[in-house]
Amino acid sequence: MTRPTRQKESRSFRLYARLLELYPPAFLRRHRAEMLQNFADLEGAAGSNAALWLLIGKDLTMSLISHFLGSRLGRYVIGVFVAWMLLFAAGYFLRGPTPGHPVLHVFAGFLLGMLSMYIATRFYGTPQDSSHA
Amino acid sequence: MSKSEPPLPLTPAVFHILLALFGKERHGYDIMQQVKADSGDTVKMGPGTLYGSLDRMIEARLVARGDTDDPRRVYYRLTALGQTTLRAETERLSRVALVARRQLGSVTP
Repeated sequence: MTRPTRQKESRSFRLYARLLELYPPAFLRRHRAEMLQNFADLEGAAGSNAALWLLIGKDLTMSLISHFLGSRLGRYVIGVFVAWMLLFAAGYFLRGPTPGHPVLHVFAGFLLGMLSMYIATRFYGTPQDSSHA
Repeated sequence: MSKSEPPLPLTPAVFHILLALFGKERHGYDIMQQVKADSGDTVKMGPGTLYGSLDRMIEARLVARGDTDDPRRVYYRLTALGQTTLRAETERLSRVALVARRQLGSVTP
């Protein structure tokens, strides 16, 4: 991996390099070196670490959501969400409001599970990747 | 829509990236700084948003990657379609602003 033109890597830089692993591998192959260099430039110009991480935190959140929703897993989650909403609407109209909305709770659990799987596969790869390694 | 037609309307991020690249090749950090300056600090773009947008713009043939040996400093430039799109969007925004000014001018607060 090509490192940016800096004398010493800060803790913020090392953390950002680790967080980049959340992006899809194809995207990282194209842009990892540029993104690390940009972070180093931003860090050099930032007035404070808080201002830097405010920008980076917002950027990571928005762009990772966009990548997640564009991925096959994201489209699967959207499909399940639509199915769950239809199920919820059907239950609501046929049986009336249910205390605690169990259908929505089940979906929330599913969504958290899917997000955890996405993050885990970004950091540690898929079982197929491991078998080739 | 055919591939040679400008894909309007543009998102603010795409419009500002096209504007930053007009007349000059720039690398990522330079684009971010130019967008910040052009927008009067209202559009602050981080690396994730920038390269996600650039990938989509390259796919739409609005922007092209320059040749470089250094993967840390890749330069991007506008294509002919990118220039046409920027002009078309600027015209569209001007018309919208004209209508808005007319409407606001006709209403007394």
